[in-house]
Amino acid sequence: MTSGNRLAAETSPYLRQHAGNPVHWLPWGDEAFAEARRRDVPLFVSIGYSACHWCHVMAHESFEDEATAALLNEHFVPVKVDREERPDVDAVYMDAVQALTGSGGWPLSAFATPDGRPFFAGTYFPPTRRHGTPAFTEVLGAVATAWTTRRDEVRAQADELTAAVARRIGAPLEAGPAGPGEPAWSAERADPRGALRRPSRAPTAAATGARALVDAAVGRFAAMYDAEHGGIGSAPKFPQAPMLELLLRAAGAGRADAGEMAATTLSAMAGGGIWDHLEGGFARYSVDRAWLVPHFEKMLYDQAALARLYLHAYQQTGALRWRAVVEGIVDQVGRDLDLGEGGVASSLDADAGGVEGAHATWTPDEIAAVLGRDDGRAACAFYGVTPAGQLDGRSVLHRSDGAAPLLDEPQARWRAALTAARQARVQPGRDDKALTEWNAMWCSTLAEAAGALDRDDWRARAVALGEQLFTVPRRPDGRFLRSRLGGRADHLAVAADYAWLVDAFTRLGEATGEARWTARAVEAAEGLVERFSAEDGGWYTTGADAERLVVRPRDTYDGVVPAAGSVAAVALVRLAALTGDDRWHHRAAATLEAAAPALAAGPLAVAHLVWAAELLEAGPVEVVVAGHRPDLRRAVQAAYRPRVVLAWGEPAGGPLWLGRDRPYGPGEGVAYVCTRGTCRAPSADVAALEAALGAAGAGAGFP
Amino acid sequence: MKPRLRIPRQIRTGTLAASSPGDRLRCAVLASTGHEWVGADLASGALVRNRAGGPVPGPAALRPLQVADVVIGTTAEAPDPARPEAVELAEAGPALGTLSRRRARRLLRRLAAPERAGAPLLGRWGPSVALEELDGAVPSVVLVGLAPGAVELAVGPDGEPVCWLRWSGVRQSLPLADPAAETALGETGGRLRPRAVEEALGLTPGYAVVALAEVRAGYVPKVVLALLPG
Repeated sequence: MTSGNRLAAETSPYLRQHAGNPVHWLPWGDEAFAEARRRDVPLFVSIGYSACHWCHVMAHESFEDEATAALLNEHFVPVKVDREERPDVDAVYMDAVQALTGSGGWPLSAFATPDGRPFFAGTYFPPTRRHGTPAFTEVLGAVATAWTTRRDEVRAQADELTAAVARRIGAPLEAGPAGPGEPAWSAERADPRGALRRPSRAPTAAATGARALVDAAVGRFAAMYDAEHGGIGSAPKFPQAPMLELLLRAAGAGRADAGEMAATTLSAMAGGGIWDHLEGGFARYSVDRAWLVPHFEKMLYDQAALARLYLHAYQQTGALRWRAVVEGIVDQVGRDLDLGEGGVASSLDADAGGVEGAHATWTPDEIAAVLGRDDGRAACAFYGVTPAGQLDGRSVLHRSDGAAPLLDEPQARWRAALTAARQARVQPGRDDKALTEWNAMWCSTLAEAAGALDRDDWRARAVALGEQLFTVPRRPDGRFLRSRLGGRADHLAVAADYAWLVDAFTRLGEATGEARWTARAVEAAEGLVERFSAEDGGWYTTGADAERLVVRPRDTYDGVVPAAGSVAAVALVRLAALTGDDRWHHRAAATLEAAAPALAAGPLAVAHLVWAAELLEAGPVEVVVAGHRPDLRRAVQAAYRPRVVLAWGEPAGGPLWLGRDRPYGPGEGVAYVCTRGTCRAPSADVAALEAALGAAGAGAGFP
Repeated sequence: MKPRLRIPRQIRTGTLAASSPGDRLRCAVLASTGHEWVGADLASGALVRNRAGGPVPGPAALRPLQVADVVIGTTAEAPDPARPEAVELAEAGPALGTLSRRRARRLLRRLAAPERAGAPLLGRWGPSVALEELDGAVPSVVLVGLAPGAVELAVGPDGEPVCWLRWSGVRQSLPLADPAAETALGETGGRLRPRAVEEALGLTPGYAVVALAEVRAGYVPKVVLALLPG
């Protein structure tokens, strides 16, 4: 039996939450494997994350139970994994559970041989048999018996399952599913039953121009579109930022249907309960198709992706309510997740005081107690608060008026009073670990938004975070790390960490005009290419210097967060334009080539990667504002221009600045607009610059 | 003697031919609900919206596709950026007649907005617009052509009637304020598929009058004011 629980010293708050369990948890690592080999017992690998409601439920029901813990300790080596710290480990075992059961999710409960090969897996198991699901103790007993009495079968199953996982997530991007055992989808990530790969007007793999890819993706979205509530499918509904970004780019290129679907979806999300109408920010998903009742956890990656999405929607349409969403998210993250020198925290829990959404739901009486009878009644009507409620007799604030989150009086006064009352309640827990990937995502969004909305305060926050990201989560040899907490960084960064760092540093360069950020982006890009490149042009999740898992996973499809390869491809095309270094362009092009079958089969499933295809095909629009012309710089940044890369301020060297870094006096300067090696006449005023940008096709997603 | 009803053969859509207090406009009624009145000025093809909302005072309520003279009144209120077509209509004369099917078709075809690639309904994507975003530069009412069999009516989740139509290449769900359609829907209580819509209304919807409705808590929803025959 493993001696004692070893989670107390971990950096992950999620792991530390289990440090008091009677289960003798070990963190993922060699010690656990050695212990399993020594005792000749299987590993029980339990994967979850801090904001996961059902992870906490299973922990309370089973992992805090002495009898269950005794079973686990006697027959297994229990290993606890925070999926956010170890997305590579999560990817392997998630694919195993999907292959076995056809679906997946968290908590993830996997059983593996002492060398880590999975042979059985599931998700949540109840403490007693329920609705046909066996009790967790029954599962433990059955697995222990199988391990003891039918070892050959178990090993054969482990071999078969590991091979299947290797084919599915270790192989190059492939168009087709893996055959039997093809997973049902996790709506948050991956491809819903292959639905996204079922093109409505399928381009062939041989002739997938960017326009055809976008058209096919829009057509696929339209085929699954919920015209009543926006989004795709029914329930649960996740805010699919990469797909919606694709719609905005298509709308910019003249597809009104794409704009209509995007606007309806954004409007429904901002009015639904998935948006926090008092404190701002989005919950992770809605359990219903109307975006009404959320799962209340708030993830940093959602805030980053959705703030950027709504920023682009505002830039494209001028709709003030969407700018208000951006401002609401930035305020919420700054208030609730910003840890100062510790980076930005990962998430807020769904539960408060052990009850899901207790901090954020209301009854009419509670509203009246805060606002008084008359205002209370009006506020209930405004926010859809009813005696019956939508969640166990309580109501989730939502609006059906289409103007959310804009408020007039007296609604703004109501909101302030209700927010104050809510803050007096028990608050949800916070996962304080700062993940490099999500922090870089947030930094990138904040930098872009600062430029677009000309917010110096946001720019300063982005710069401070960027400085941290470049210096803190690193080993002495410069290798980036994934997670940090309380001054301690841990776990090797994965491809997504590096890819987002490249993106964040280039965005900081564009937001500040400081040359050092481009140099830092190059440094991150070199690490990305050196450590994560696959032989076929794709990308591995783990570095070449990382621990060898039973499968070296690859991140294939975009979910609510784009796959690492998609982020890398876009960031590298932009970096190539900023530096004039063709290495990055070629590496991005290779990514597209490796992904060509998947792009052709279902571009909506790789919507962020389609952006790279658009950039590579049409070429980025390179804008250099030389001299001291904030008016020209602001004109470039204010509008939605997905193809533009911007250099200004301190000359960063490279071909972009050749002959353009001469001294200018105060108020002097010009803007250069170039694409594909051809430059237009320098623009000395905003009107000329706008004309040059328009002529270069800078406003459209593709020409 | 009843005046002879003349419908111009050619209508060049544009601004109102007359817009001063006391001026008389000969209009074909396009929508008349309890809250809205929209007509087409036959001299200019401009859509006219009653600033005060609801039917224009007159000897009898006017129905869609009837023709009548309306008189522009006076108002001290500033132009409404949410409804740039709105004018103060002081009174309406009696109905001068009803457009025949052929004439109605000819008129509506000329008034209908073309469905151009990239053009959202009423200048904005999405089912509603925030009042702050309206500056009077985009119209607040439009006549749109409907594909045959494309209109469905239903009671929405909140109990309000909705109309499903297709525009900008995508199906859209908009609140319904056409009194006849609301009545038809109320009698069935559920959902009217395209064929049932035709049977219930006694016409095949070929056009819809879509408008930005009155402002509610800072937002302006798009709403279907009338379904007209094709």
